[in-house]
Amino acid sequence: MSKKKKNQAQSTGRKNISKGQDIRRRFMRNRNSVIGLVLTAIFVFVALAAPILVDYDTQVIQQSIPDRLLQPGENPEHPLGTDEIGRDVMARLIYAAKMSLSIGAMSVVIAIAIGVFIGSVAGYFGGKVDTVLMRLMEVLDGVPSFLMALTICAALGASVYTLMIAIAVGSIAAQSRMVRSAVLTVKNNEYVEAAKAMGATDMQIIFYHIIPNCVGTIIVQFSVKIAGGILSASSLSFLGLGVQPPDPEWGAMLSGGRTYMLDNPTLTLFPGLCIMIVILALNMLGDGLRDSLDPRLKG
Amino acid sequence: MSEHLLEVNHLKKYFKTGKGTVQAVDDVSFTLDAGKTLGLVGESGCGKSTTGRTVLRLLEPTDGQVIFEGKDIAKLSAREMRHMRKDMQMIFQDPFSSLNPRKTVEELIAEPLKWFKVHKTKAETKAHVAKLMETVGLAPRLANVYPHELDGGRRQRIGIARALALDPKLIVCDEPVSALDVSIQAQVLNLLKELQREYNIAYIFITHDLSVVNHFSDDIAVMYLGQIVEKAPAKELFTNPVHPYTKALLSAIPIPDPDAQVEQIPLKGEISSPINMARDCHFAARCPYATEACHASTPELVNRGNEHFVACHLF
Amino acid sequence: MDKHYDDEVLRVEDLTVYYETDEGTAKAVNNLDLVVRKGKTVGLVGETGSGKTTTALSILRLVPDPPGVIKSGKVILDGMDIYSLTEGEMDMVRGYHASMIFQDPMTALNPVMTVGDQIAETLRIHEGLDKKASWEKAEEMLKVVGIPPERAKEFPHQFSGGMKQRVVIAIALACSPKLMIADEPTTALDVTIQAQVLREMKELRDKYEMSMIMITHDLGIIAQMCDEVAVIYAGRIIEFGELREIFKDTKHPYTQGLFDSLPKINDGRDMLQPIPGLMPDPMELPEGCAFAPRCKYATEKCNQGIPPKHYFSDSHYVACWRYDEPEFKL
Repeated sequence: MSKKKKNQAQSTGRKNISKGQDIRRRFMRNRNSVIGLVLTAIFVFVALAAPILVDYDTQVIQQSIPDRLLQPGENPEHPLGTDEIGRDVMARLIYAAKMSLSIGAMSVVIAIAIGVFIGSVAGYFGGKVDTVLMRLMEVLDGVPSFLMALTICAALGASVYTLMIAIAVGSIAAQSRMVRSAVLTVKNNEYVEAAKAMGATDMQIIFYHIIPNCVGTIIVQFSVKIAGGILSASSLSFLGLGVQPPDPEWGAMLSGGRTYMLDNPTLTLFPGLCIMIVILALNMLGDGLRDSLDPRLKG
Repeated sequence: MSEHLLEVNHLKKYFKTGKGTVQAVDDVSFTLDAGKTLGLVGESGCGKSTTGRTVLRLLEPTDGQVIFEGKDIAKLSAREMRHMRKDMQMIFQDPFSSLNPRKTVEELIAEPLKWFKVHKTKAETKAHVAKLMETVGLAPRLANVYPHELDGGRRQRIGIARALALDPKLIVCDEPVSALDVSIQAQVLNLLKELQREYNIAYIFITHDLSVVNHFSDDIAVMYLGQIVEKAPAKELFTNPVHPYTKALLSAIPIPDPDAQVEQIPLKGEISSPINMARDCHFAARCPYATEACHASTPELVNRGNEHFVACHLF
Repeated sequence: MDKHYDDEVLRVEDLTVYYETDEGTAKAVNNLDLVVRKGKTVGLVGETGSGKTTTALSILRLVPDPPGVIKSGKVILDGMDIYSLTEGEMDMVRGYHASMIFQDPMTALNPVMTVGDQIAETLRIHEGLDKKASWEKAEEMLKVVGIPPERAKEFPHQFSGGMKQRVVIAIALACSPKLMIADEPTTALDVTIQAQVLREMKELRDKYEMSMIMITHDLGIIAQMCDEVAVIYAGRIIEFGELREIFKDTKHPYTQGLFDSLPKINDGRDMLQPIPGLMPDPMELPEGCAFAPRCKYATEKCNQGIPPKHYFSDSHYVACWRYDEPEFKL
């Protein structure tokens, strides 16, 4: 193929901007990623401001049997209605954002941090190191993740933090494998050998060359796995581990509302929507970030 | 013994694979003086790149010595070796895959400076990079450009600039121009030559293209299946090739002159794989002059005068 | 427009091919004329991105569309107007009247079919042979290119690079086409293997009296294989002539530059004389002669319009403004 060399820099007069400006410019140019960023920002803001926006004692956990199962709009004091024991759905959703987001995000951050370390060491060094680490990961994978989470929660005592760790441990093996396979493709590039020839140490190579080139995979993993994290958290909370009633949490609200699905579908709809929008926003943000961090994909 | 910059003695590099042992480099010896160029020529699979990489200890030698400035680098610890890398650098064949696509030209050239913490401040590094860019003929406006936006010739200049960054005494050039168009190839070859004159750098110039090495080298070593079959000063090798393989290789080059009458020495078959090779002359299977002796033992590299070494039973 | 000959196999007139992408229009081939006569080999020399491959693809209507668009031009192959044929008719032309050999033999062969089947398939489609006859002919073709016929039952990965390229040649030759287009057929091979393959191609070409277009960047191969040479730069033929005219009586500064860039095998170790600069971006071709920005002979006029053809003999022309001056010499 006779190729038309596109975008040859000698013909373009631009480029007196720094790398950071360049990345920002490319990110902002993509409409989807900006929408993702804005939505994510709103959720994060709501989660952080939850204690100010709603009062825990009088709104979030305040029961009121006469007001139970109000439909949205029925009572202006409860714009999104109330649940089966008369708690305000809106206040609970807002407060739950803090719980759900932090559990989802933290569990994935922990899993990815460990996964990136194990995966890149295994993939980069190969040989025996690789064999030992990957067999260990298989052992970890052999234990059903739910059972593992239960054990961890039982051993460490039920709390939000244990929940994060428990969920993270369940996905470490998958993360490591994902990162390892990305590392294997990056490792065979000549620039890795070139770095060695220039005198870089193994750790310098891993951090300067390997991981930045796996960042696409890692970001995509991050946005996909947060959803899984939120959902696992809800099932564990449902079993009484992790988020303890009466604290609200999206997953728990979702499952709690199932009983009233026919009469009060909004009880499941609202937390479901919240989870969906967060995941959508994170995915859009993740895709945008991945693309803007890769200089080869510039528009 | 005279002091050479680099002395390689009986270097071997074997790879164990499922099918057997690959004798990629099998008993290779040569010397190189400061500011000189040794051309390593051969076809794909002859072990020339492996030799270059083993000399730099990017691959661990299986056996043999690589003596650089009096020190056997095969025996150095990882830390000492890393220190040694300042003096021995490499230029790669593929200017696409040897540059990290996520780094800008400036970051790429600054890399060796970064690893050895040559400069304390960013400004000093920047100034040094700017100087290097000027040396290799890259316009300053390209500093923030990514390599994929550049043509092959400019990309190769980045590779040269970073190899120069630490003022090395030896650069292994692995097919530095074979991915480039002729007119660009000539630009890069000229640059390498000027740099050699100016900084007194020794090159090991690995290539399959005999016309390029002739233009470039003081000595040329021809490799076949992991061994040097002939080694001589460039002029001597081209005017008076002795080994049948060298002759065949020389005669196979298409000469850009319609009147050139070259008597081609046709070779039978193709290069065999260097797995579990017998102790014979590895070229015997394709050699038009092979005798029984050639299949019986490996010929030694013998000096036939004028520093012209040949490994062939016929002489 | 080039002179008419009675024995022409291929005539390309005023061919213009653009690649239209979001970033702009790459003018890959611009008003190119080319004639290939029976039994002759024309070499197409040029650097990466000069449009030589696009020209070849246009002849067989293989330019990927989108983004490739054939803007203008006429291709007459073996008496047929290629651009007026239907896609079905075109399938019969490819491989039967003209075939193409690509640079990378691995991608040109189907990895899950035996090489014998791949040759036989061509024969079944174009010659209408039955299974047995096509297989026998396939074995014969392998013998022709120097591969033992027993190997017909093997798969491409069992062959070395040189052998694979021979298989590709066997497929291309199977229906004895009038024209063979070889796009850098030996670039991926080692020199000694390249010599073998080129020798083979030469013998076969003479045996079948084929015409050939040999695309390469290697002037050595041109000197060995070709009768006529077209030097292509930024999608135009800037010099055309018989082999000796190009090599011994070089007229265009670019052709001259190519020769000067080559390290000579038999002489000294002086500095080479490279052509300064780079080929222009096909998206932003200069208005005048595309070579003018790199040309040491360029004058004001060179930047103003596309240079016309200047004939030195019936066969030898150059597209250069400076030859308007009667006393101009390189």
